[in-house]
Amino acid sequence: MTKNIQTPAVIVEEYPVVISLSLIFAYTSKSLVDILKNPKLPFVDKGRSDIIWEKEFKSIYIPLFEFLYTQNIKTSVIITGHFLDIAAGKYPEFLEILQRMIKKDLLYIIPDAYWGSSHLSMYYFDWWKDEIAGTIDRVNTYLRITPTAVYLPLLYRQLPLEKLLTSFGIIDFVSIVDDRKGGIMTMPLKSFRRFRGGKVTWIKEVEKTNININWYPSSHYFDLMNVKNHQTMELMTKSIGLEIALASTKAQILQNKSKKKPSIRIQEERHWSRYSNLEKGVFRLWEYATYMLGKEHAEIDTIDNDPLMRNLFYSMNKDFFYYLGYDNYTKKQQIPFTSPYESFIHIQNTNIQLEILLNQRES
Amino acid sequence: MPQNPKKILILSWEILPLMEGGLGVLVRSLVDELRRQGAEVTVLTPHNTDHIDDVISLESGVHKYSKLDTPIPGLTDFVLKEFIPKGKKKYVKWPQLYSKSVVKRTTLYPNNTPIVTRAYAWAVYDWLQENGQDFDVIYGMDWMAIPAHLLLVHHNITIPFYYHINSTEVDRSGGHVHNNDYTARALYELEKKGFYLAEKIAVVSDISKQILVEDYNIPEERIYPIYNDISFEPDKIGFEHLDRGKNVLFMGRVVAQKGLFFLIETAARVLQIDSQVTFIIAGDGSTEGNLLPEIVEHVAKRKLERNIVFTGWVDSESKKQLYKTSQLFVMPSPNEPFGLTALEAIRSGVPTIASETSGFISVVPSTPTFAYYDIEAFANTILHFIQNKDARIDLLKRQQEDLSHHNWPKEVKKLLSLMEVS
Repeated sequence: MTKNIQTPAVIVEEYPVVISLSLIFAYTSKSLVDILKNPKLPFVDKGRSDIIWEKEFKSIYIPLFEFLYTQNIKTSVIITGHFLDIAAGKYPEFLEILQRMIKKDLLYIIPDAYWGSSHLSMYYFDWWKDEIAGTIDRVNTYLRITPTAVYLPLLYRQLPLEKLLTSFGIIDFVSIVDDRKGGIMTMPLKSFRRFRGGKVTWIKEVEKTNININWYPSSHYFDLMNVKNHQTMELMTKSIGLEIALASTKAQILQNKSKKKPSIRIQEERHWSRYSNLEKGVFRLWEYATYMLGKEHAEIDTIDNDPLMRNLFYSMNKDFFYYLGYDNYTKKQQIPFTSPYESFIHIQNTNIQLEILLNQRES
Repeated sequence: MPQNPKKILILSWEILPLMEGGLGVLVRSLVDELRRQGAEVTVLTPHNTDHIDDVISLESGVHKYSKLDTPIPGLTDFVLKEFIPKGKKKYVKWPQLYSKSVVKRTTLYPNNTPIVTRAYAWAVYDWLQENGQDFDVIYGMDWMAIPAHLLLVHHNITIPFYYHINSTEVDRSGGHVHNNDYTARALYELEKKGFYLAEKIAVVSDISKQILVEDYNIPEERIYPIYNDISFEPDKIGFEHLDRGKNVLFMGRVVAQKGLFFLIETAARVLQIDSQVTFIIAGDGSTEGNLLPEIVEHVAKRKLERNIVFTGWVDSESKKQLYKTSQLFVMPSPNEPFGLTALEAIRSGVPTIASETSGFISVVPSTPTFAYYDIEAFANTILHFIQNKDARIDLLKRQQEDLSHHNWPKEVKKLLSLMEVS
């Protein structure tokens, strides 16, 4: 079995649009009182999640990618290891389409964290790195390629990207920005990394290595949420397929017109202004959960061996940014909460559930 | 005037287990005790109450006086068919029924009187016509009974009408009726009209009496405090998982009347000094004036999400467990006509502190109080008791002692004697 390496010169030029592929869990709606009555209540409704995913694969993913393949549309995908595992287990025909697309150079793979919890990179980089390793492993296994790029939800200079470089040889980092155009900036790692204004000096072994900061404009980013939550899913899939095809083709026609090299400003620290109060609150709760787990269970393996704890923690780290979006409540959707506030209370209560479980484990 | 009144007709919007706030609990306790003391009591509610003994549901009668077949959120099985002109069918949502002038104008009630209470009034009138008017007293619970009262007066039905006021619009609007929307002002006018025509008015606390005198200009001699009580059996078990040793409990609906913004600010102050304290906010929003989104947003903004936890709606079983899990109960309401939860907390062994505008203080005068807006004083009181076990034990002892003098049968007897005197 041969393993290929995808090496486009400029990702955003060769694959002008990006599609996000991850699966959102259905959550059980329970309050603090439910948790207090029974702290071992499941957090995720697995049965309902399976039903939703089946619908999504059959009505969205398979027809959409089949369409992109037949029309020779070039695109990249941000994909999670969890998504690949589900696809390999239940929908191998979907993986087969992806393999065909890769073979024809129509698809570029950008791994996301295994559970889609990419925000973990912002407060516990090592755990996030382990999750990235999980996805890279699945990409290797199922798609027979070795990825060289990863997805970062937020770019800032204090991210210890050298850890990915030394562990997995990753040199391309992809992010989505609210810009008109996408682009790439190549720079040595030592120019990228800064700490309180100064360059870092403790990463000598890789400091001269160049890394590529890639960014897609948000107009070329498709997370398929509108499709997933639309009543006429099949029609919306057709529509989004055409939209992706149009955006990709148009970008290929228009590219290289400007000779000016694109650039973006990268903040030194993570900047909170783009997050709402509730989102910031959730970040703090995650940090606290990470602290609790880190304190009591220094090894990540401990929670990996405990399905309840693992699901609880990693599930907490994904999806909730979607549930905290005010706009997402305006349409009829499969959201298990009635408002972002309820969703916030839910994650707050889940934190307590985690605390109770850890305390019980201790005693 | 009747001597030894035996037949009492109670008009109430809710009765346990059909309840949203304290009114349902109060009516249940009142009915039980009145019956125990020999009165013959009939309760008329606008809801489907098939599962409650001896309570008559006027649901079908209310249907008759409605035109729309649109169910109202929060009032299951209750539909409106009368009073709404066909062209106004788009105004079908519950809050809109309160605020839009979609009803036929009448001089009987102030404009914007909620339409469901009008339909209920007609249903009560019909029921009395069909079942006879052989009652010594009609007893209206809160403002929802007022349109019925006015309609009966309009049709010369002269059974003495008493009110039992659990909360007024002045309480519900946090003391700012005139700054509120026109529905609140309409309810205030309605209450004024009803209270003026009432034989006598029972109120749940001295604070409520003061409000009726000052804000409604009702003569003091027509107002009688009947201090609330409930038959509450505390539980011995608690949520041991949550027992962090410093739990401060708030229980109630998340509405403006309950003073939650002050509580959040106070919590921020307390947590600056003792970060181990956990504030538990038990209860959810209500159909009207739900403040939960604002409160949650505020908690996130103040970065207090780890120490202020929300439980959502709690059933009576969980409520008892939450009491047993808490070390201190707080009631920061700017306007709390009585505050039954405070009595529940004290009975469950949780010492309680409250704003000086809480009605239950008439029954438990040893309760430490603070001005609801005085965050420093509130925070200091919490810190004093949460960090000092002996002070908590001492306070609880005094509060339970106060409560032992309070006797619900005695209060109900007082109520019955009021009816005899008139």
